[in-house]
Amino acid sequence: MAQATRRAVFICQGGAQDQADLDYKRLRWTAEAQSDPLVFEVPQACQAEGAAAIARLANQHGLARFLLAACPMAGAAGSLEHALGLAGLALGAARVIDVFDLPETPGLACRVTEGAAVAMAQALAVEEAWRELPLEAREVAGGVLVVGNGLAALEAVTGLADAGREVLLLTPTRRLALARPGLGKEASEAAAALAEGLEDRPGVEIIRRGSLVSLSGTAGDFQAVVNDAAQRPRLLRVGAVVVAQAPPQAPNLPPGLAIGPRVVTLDDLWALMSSPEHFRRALGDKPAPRVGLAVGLGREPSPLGLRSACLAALGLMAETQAEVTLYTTNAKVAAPELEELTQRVRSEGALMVKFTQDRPAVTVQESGLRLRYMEDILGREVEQELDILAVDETAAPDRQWRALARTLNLTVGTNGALQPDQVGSLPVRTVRAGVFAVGPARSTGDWLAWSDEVGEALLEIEQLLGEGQPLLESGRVVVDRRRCAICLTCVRVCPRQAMGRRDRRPFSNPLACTGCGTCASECPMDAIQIVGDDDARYRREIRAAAAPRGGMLELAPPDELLVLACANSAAPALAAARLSGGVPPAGTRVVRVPCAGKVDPAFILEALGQGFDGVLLLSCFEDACYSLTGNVWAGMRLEHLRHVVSEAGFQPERIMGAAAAPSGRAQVMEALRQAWDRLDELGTNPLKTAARVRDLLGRFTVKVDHTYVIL
Amino acid sequence: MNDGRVLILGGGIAGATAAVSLAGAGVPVTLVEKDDFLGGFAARLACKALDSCQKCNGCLAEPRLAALMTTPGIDILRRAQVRELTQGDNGFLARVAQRPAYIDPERCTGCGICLQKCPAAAEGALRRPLLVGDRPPLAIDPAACLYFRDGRSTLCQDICPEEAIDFGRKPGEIQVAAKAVVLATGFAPYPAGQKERLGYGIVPNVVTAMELEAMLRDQGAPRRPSDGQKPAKVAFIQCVGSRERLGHNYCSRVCCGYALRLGRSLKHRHGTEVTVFYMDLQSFGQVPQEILEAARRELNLVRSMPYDVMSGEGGRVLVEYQAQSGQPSRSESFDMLALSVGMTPGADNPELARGLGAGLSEQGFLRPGTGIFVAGAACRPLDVAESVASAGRAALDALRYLEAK
Repeated sequence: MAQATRRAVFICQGGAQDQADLDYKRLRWTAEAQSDPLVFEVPQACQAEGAAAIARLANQHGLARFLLAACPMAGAAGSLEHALGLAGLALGAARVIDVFDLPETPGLACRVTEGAAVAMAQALAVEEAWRELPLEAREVAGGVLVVGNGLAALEAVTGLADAGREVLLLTPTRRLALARPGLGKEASEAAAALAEGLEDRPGVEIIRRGSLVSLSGTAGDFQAVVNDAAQRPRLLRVGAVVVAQAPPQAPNLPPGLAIGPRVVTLDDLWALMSSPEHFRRALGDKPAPRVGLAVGLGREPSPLGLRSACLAALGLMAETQAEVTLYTTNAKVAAPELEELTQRVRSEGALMVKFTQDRPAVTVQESGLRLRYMEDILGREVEQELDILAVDETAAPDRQWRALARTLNLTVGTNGALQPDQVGSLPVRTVRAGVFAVGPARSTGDWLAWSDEVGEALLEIEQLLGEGQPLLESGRVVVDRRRCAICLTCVRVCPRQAMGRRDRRPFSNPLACTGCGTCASECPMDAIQIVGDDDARYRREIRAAAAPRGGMLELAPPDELLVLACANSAAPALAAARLSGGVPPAGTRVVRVPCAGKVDPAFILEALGQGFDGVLLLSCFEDACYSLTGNVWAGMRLEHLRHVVSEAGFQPERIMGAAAAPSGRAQVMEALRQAWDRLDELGTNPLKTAARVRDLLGRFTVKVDHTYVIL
Repeated sequence: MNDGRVLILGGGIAGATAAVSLAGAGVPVTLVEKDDFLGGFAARLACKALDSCQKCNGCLAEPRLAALMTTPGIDILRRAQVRELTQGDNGFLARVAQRPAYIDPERCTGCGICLQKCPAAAEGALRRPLLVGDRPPLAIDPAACLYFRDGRSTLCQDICPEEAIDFGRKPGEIQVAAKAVVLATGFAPYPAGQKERLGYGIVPNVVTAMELEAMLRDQGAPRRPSDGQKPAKVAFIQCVGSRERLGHNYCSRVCCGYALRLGRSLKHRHGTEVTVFYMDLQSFGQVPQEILEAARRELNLVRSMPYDVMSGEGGRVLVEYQAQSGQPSRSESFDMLALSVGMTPGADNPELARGLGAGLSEQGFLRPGTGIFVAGAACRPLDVAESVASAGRAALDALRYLEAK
């Protein structure tokens, strides 16, 4: 089981030169007030001498982990870690607490910051909850299921087989579709080379015309049911899933135009072109057929459509006598060599027409088509006759595609992509840990980008599954069996789909869990706790942040704001702001949470009860949460809590929320300024006096040793 | 001694991703960064969120760059450039030249006294890192520092309480033996001054979109360089240094995405009136339709490439363009003009290709060679997410290459 280690605190004497200073003494007393701590004062910790002293003492007392009170700059600048590393201490052994400010003038001692004792108390409260968890070898399935039938899928299968993994390729078609001809010859050749002999490779199995029926379980331990062509189900155990299938395509037509003998898709045109005889016959044996290629007449097109049209135009002009016109709207040239390709189409003699505002009026007759449109450069209306018009295709998710998404428990974007862009899942992850979406399944980019995505996914799979028995922390998420009602709320809310069931009880898979704590906060029975991040630790830390409040006689201490900062966004942004000289207003106390989704309404009530004048929850922006929905849950809880406190006659405006990005150093400072402006309007928390009296009584009764100091 | 290490050139998002992936797989890594600080261009992007995220993917870089500094097994050489690389039977041997650290990373506490007193601080003689945890906490830029002009201005050296500053330090040279090399040297933003008619460097308040990003990131608001005022009306010109028949004959891919998102962000957060001059709107990635439709509603999108930019009264910028062919030209005035500069190949690419045996694409981007892998925007214009994927591919290829050796 987890063991508590002896706590130790080192105080850097860079900030300890004026040891008679009351602020400094208070810092020391705060450290000593903790039960049985070791407190050491050491010379400047960011210099070799100080670091060596720390290393000596740490070794002497067998301390693998300790707190180090120093200045924020030394911590932010990495010089502490560096010096300690040189002195032979493990990376991350020291948890640095920012308690000193550097001197404003050279030669003077560092100053103890306004919130030093608070920061010390908070760090001790966090440290008290910290537990080292045993590492356990976890057996995972090493095989991988790949869904798809094109270039990206073939590349994934080959790469996985090269890495010695068992692979099952599930293709919706009978053939292993080679790359679409519109991608270019290079892609077709690459696909053909990959497909050759794939089936005979040891460890590779291909199920043609198969479908995925269900996928249960969690990363490293998925149970997939797949149907083969004869609808015979099979149960497989796989460690990961790669989806590399393109969404279904539909012709990109403007309203009023339909596919027919004269209007075809580019893919159809490529099929016709593959047989010169068919091509001639389809165009009524005309010696110089007039061919129109249109990209983007309906929806916004993609570079894939433009590449296909350009290559078709060049092929037609080289091999037939066709007169080619290329119609574009927004010409999507954002792919390698596409700009040059369009220029070549023009220089080889194709007519290029760009529709900026209106689309052409198309009349389809049996013998051909007539297009009427406004020509921008000529400035007049033009009529053009064609024998055939080929239009590009765009993704059109159908029922089957949506069913596949549902089976995988993923969502579909408006453009058919299987995993809409989201900061926590880019470039190849999905919201379901262990399931990867690559290539055409998620992007309309070029196939060079698909190849990169496949590579990144293979790397992620190696990291996830390793040699088959990754060593993982066990017991980070604890489900209390006496409380759990097996309502499975945790399974539903887990943003990484890391919650599975073991022995019919919820069980968090450490391979997939990021420790965001959403399950713990949403559990209606309060049955889940995250070790080291449990609710009691936050209540203790918030009390610690509120506790040391100036002198005995100050019955109206200064205003205080509690900031609950998301570790993925606001906390790094605050650190960056600090680095560029930003200082949070005095009275700002920051408690770092793993995700806004961890914030329980009880934390906020605790803070207000402890006399904080306001609470500001800093989360990620909507749709940018690293745990997908942590900020949404948090927002709902704040809203509910505001309602509850206003019913009780308390000002709900004291409960505030704002968003920041990890790069948002200006954003967080602005959010703090706005929160303080709000507090200035609201005045002092009416609960503050009561909290203050309770705090003083507490000091008298519990910490008798120190009362003389306070008096 | 060759311990099977991989040498990575470039400490931006691609180099960081490749380094962390390789170190995670147990391969020792030496990463060489020519700048004083890590992070590259990805660390200079601003958040463009409205109330919700616009999926610019800029903040994808933050955790990966932070991991670069905390992952064990990665040696980082800042201020360093590979001068010579030779390939033998036992892999590569690199001769790395390192500029001196005038501020000692071991001693500097980052107190910033030098920054307060520096007479050339406004010119950028002293810089802070882009990333939390990067070292040293301050660096001297010889291009702006007075000492490197007169040889006498040693104020910071004299007042540093830690005696961390020493102008007497000499450049060093390090030999690195490696089994494979990853080129993650990134791109160079198109030098906007080359298009004289667009007024950059001549007309006040013409900035590059990258400078606008930096303003938003560091100050949270756009500011006119001439007077520090918040501009009420801003224009963007797309394809500056992209899609040129002669020159950079390719689409830089990222500029439409960042300009439309920046424009929407300015409009939502600062009430700015935004015009975007463009040729074709490139909207790749996953939110084309949504972002484009919203931009069409909220911004003034003009399909026309302005041909002249002039200085107007009160620091205003006059943009001349033809709204439609055949119509007379129009002159419109803006408070600020942002040029959406494209991504061009790094200036060192020809030298790298020659010296390293890597290939060069027609446009001047890097191509892989034997034992040499290319990651990120060094190989073609890529956005942040694509650079991460590209670095993953390069790391995987390097791993396979090492296994096969």
